Amino acid sequence: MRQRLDSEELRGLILRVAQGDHKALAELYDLTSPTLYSLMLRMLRQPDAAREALQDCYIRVWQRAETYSQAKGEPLSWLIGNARYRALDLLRASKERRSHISEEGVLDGMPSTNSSPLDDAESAESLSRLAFCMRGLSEVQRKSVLLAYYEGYSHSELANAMAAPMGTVKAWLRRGLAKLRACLLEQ
Amino acid sequence: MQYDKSSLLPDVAAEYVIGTLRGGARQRFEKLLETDAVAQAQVAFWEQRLSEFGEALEPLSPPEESREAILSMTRPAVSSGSLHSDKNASSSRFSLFHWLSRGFGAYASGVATATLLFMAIALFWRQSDENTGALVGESELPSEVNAVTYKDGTGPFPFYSAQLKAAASSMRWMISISPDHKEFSVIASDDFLQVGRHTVQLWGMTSDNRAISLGPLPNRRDASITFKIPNALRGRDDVRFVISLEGAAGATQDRPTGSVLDEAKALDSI
Repeated sequence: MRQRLDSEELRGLILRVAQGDHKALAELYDLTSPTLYSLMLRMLRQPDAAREALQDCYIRVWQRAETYSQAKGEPLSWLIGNARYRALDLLRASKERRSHISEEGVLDGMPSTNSSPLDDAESAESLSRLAFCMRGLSEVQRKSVLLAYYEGYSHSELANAMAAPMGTVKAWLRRGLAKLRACLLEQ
Repeated sequence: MQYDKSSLLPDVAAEYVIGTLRGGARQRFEKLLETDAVAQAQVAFWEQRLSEFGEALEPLSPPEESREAILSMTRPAVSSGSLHSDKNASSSRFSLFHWLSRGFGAYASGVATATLLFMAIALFWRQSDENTGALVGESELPSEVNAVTYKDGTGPFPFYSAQLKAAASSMRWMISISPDHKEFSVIASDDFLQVGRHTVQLWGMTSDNRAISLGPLPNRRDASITFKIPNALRGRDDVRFVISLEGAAGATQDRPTGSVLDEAKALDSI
């Protein structure tokens, strides 16, 4: 079972980075880069692009660590958010990459509607809420959310991947997210 | 999409975080995020909850060279003027700066139509901002000394003046002048992350070696800054623009104290 990172330790490191402590940046990188790199690679598919996104992410952390506050939640969530927005930027900038990925190829190896990395992690109590709530979504809603998150798909790309009209896909996603939110707020 | 109904915010925030909110709608929402606490809270909620998707993946160590590259770029060695750059991946991306600068190149060569073209572009850009939300730019604190006024989302002015570059980097800044010669606009060509915690400071230098601080430059791709032309430079035809690498707070002296990265003479009188 993978071990969750210590939030207090990460928070302390980010505070030190905000004060210009270069050694703290190295420690933060050592602790968190495997998680971020795994996500970058999953989203971008190309090791070079994943490395670029990772690099940009940590440089932005170095430049803007002071913008992190406890009110923004868990430090790892903040880091993942930063990394993911950078990956989304890269994905938008290279839309042509989609042309050589078939629908089947896209769905291969991604969290299916039957199992996902969340299921593997479900035994960890702190990771169980989202997995639990995802189970409450219909298959198409669940797939829409996962494709958007892990693949960075736009509405039109979702429509292509799921062979459905764009309006339908938008509704799946919107309703799925609304259902997810309601469930998460209940937890 | 309108955001005046608070009931819409959770939906829009969710689509923003998951990435399906795009284009002008995304830019407008980012503008809203700068000031709206409810929108910020909604985004924080989704970032926090959805990050569990990322945490659920099996961690995978990145190549060792990534660590070295990041630590090298962020190391205070930048202050010595040693700039590292790896812009290969970004150079192929569309950049408004490059598109515009090619047009200004034609203008500088004396092609009169380019002037008209870029006046039209400037007008279109401003109109486009009104319609689709402003281009996200840098928000820096104004310099009290020079009464610099920064505006986000301002496009280039019709009159090209100069282009500056960071050595050993693909980074460029293009300077243009307003028709009334009261303002400069500076637009950045790329993300300039190598600057680390430093700022790139723009100066106006006159032939009698007087240096006038104009302010820190944007370091995000296609971000622009507009500032007033100081009286000391207005109307002169001997102005050289100089960029230097200064501390995080900008220049503290009345001359460049950090490494001078580049200089270029203004094309015409200011």
